Amino acid sequence: MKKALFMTLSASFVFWLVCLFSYDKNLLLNAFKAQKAEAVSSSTQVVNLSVTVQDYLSFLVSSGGNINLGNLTPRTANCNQSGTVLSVDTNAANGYKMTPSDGFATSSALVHTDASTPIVDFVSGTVAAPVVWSLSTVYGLGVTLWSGSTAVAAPWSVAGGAPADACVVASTKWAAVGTTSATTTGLTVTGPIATTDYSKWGWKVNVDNTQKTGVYAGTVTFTVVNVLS
Amino acid sequence: MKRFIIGLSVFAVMGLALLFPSNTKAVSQGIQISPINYAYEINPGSSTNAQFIISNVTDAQMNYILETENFSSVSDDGAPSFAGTEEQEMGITTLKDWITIAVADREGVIAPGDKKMIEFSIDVPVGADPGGHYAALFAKQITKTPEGKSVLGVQNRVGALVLVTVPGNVTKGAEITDFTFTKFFWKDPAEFSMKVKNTGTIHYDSTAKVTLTSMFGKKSEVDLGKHTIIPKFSRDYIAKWSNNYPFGYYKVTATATDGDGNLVTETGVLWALPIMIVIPAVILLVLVIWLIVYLRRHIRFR
Repeated sequence: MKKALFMTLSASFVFWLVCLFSYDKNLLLNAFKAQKAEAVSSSTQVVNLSVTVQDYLSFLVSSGGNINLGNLTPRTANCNQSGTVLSVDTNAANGYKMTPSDGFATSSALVHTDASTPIVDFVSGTVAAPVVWSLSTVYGLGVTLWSGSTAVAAPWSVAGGAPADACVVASTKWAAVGTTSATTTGLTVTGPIATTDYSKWGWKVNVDNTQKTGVYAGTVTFTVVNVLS
Repeated sequence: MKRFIIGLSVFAVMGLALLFPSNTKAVSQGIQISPINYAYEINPGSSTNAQFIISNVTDAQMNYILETENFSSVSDDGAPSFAGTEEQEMGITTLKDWITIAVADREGVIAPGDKKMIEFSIDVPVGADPGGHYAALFAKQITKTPEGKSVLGVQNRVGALVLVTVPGNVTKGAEITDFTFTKFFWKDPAEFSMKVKNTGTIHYDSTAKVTLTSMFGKKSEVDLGKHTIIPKFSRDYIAKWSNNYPFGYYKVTATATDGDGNLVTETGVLWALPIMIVIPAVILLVLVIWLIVYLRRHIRFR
């Protein structure tokens, strides 16, 4: 009796399944897939990623961090042609500005070891308006921007482009190093730079024969900031 | 045999070193900071905290010192000029004084290739003047020159610009002080330039454009970009207009936005007579005149 009942129920269940399947064959398959999908989603985690790219400015003294201007005979200028090579790397969209300054209002950075006798600034030109240093009777410490990764522009540019040797070319323009970076701009590069930019700065010094003999030393600071957007 | 193999290996390594020289050059002076722009609006009596990272990008130990200086002027191309260590009136402080850095961080040493995060706060005092206040935060690498030698040392200093607006009774006016362009042009492109001056008391971003309206009513726009302008100073805007066949009269309208988004305008007139149109037209005219003269001479009309 029990066996007959079991067989009847089993046959009914199978019949019901067949009817269901024939009514909508996707019904059972979808139910199975949904269960599987639920099992998959329950084991998946979402990771949100975010990053903020910052702007930056790198400023390197590639060479010429210490310039030895040698033994100076008064009224015979000494010039350091290899000078100082400065490199700037930035992703600033509008470029950068570079300015030399020495912190001395009435003289150059070069001061005697007595701590009170300076060498004067180059008297003729300023960083805003550099001029040719033609006479041996013109004295002081001067700087020139004579070459770079981009063509040297006004006010430093000279006819014929960057010279091979800034010290021997008479048209090289020289300037006194300013006191602060307040009003002077040595070099402005506008627009984005693709690779590291470099600029070459030369140094020249001459003194009158009244200059106190001895050792002179000092420091010039180059400041780099980005140009406003 | 073993010696031969070792010798061959050494030779191979030396050869490879010659073929692929190292790009890393020993540089003893190099400093990097990030980020390099800060802009905040801070109420009097309030503070804002921020930080920046100083990196030693050399292969030597780096000594640094931090400095702050105000800037209140910007060239037409956007380069700021700094005040240095200027004298200031007793009791009057400025943005450079409002920037506070922990004493322990004001100077220090960073190992080769390493970096250091510096935190600072901008504390605007009660009673600070409403308007724009501008300064830069500098990181300077300190180097020592050899003692007793005639040496000129070179130091490198790099700065981040800090722009602070103190809200209150502020104005945001703008003025186009100079608008120049080619009044007559024969070939592309026509160049437009203008100076926009901030006549207000705080900085803002100003967007400029030029609209050209042809004699047939067709309009073209030239985008001159967007610049940050600080009070009392101007910025240059330059752009070129390329149009394949411009012809005739154009009304030119330059516009720039002030700090409230209002437009200031300047207008002018431009005549375009492109060579590509003028030369064929002149040749055609000459041919027509020649044809008329020829026909008059050789053919008698009854």
